[in-house]
Amino acid sequence: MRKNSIWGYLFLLPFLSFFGLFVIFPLIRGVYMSMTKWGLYGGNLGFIGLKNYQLLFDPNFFMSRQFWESMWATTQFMIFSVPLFIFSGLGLAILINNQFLKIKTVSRMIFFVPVALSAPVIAVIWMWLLEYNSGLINFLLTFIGIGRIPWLTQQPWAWISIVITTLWWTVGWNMIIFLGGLQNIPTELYDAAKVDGANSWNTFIHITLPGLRNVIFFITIFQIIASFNLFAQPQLMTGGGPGRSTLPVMLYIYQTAFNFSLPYMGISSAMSVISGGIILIIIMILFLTLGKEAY
Amino acid sequence: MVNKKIIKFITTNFLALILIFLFAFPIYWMIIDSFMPNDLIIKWPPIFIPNKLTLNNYLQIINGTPIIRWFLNSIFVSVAVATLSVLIDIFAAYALARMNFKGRDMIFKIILGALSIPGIILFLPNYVTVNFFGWTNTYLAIILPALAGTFGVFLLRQFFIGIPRELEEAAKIDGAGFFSIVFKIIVPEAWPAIITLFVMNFMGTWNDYFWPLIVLNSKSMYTLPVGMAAIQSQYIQWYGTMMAGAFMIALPSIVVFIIVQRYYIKGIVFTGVKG
Repeated sequence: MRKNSIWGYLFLLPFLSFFGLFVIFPLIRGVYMSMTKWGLYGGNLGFIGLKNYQLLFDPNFFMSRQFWESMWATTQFMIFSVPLFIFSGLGLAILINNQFLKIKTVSRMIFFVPVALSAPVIAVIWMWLLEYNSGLINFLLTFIGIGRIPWLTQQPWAWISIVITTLWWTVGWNMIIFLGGLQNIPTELYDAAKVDGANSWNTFIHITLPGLRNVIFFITIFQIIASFNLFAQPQLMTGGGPGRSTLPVMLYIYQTAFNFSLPYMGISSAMSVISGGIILIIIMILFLTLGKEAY
Repeated sequence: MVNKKIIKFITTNFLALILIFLFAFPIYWMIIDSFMPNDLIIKWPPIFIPNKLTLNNYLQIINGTPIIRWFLNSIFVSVAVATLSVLIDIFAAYALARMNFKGRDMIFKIILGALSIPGIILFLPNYVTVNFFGWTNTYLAIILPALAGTFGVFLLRQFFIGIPRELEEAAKIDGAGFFSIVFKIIVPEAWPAIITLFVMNFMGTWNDYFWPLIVLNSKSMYTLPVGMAAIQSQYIQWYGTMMAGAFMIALPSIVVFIIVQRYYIKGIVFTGVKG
């Protein structure tokens, strides 16, 4: 027993050292940095208590306005994307699970392949498809008489472009999780429904959806966290524009923190902590309302 | 009745074909345009099936940018992260799944809880740490923080718990130590999970854009995604060249994914549904 326990700690040691250094320590240090003036080159320029937070909640301070604008951009993306991505993933999974589908393996593979791509790759592909003058999508729109659309430079098109690109890129992941969930629903339930003469809509509402409760809950939380990580698509495709309308928090924090001349690391950390806090509050609310039934 | 089935059969498969077309088309467009001369790419109406292919776009990006160096950087850090983190995670997961020691469940709960720590809180202090050790702009800046990922420990622990204990008991009676139990019994049994984790880590590092963008600042150290983003403005009008670069990043991960997709998908479902 004694020998066993020493080996246990030894086996955990390599992982725990990295885990401690890059997960636990930064969690504490991030909060500390948010209470300092901190420069990219200068390092810690002094403890200033809650000053950064005060500034971020002061509506007259320019960074505060921009930060909350970015928070609004992130929220917009969350509202547009989370339900859409969940229902599209579910739709694809149901399609693949359909007994009439003969091309199951190919479909599943093709729907999932974009997940294997890197952000700059999907960004350049879609920027080219959405390009104003000679992009393919504007060609098709001109062909059917609608005309060119300024996809990346005007609202609401800029958001639509980012959401469509992200949908194509990531929906396969949701589909795979839903497929796993669908396969966990006992087939006897469907057989019983058939015997009772239920149509496919009723079967979906009364058997499929309740059976997927845990999975939907899990994907919702995952999608909310992912919305806050929105970065590369606006950075590369719209540059945060038009204006600052597609500048999400992650991109704004990146821009302010890695400012070469001004010591904004501290206030950027405060923005990170506020964002992280908001994510945790949303997750907690979900757990308290839906989670009790889900788990 | 038979008619209804035929209609369902046709609509389902037709819908799937349309969706397959929509999902595959952007990738087809990238590949085909990467082999087309620039004047044909921007033709109006667009050319869907070219009659003339060229390697010029590839030559242009290979000669005009350090993309080969970026390719090698990406291969190196991705293989390093995948290998090292699999090794580290095997030991940690075995300890959490099978060994008895004080605080084990507590440690597991902390690791599990860490899955919900938003990354947005961690990246600034982690940058400061990496900078403090002088790792910015080195491979270590990419490799070491990636080893702290908790997902692998979680995945392997779940898998190890499912392995029958009797296999180990027999080896223990024969006097085998923990190391030989891990490598001779656990690793061969958990092979699918280990491959899954290796591939997930490889692809995660290969595709990662945000973190390398922060910690790498000299052109020769870039990984492919960062390099690709950096040359975007330079080649803004050269779509063929950009598509050639994009395809060079995409090809390895697509190939790896297609080869191991069965395991990969199982791994996601396993952790997703149970998690």
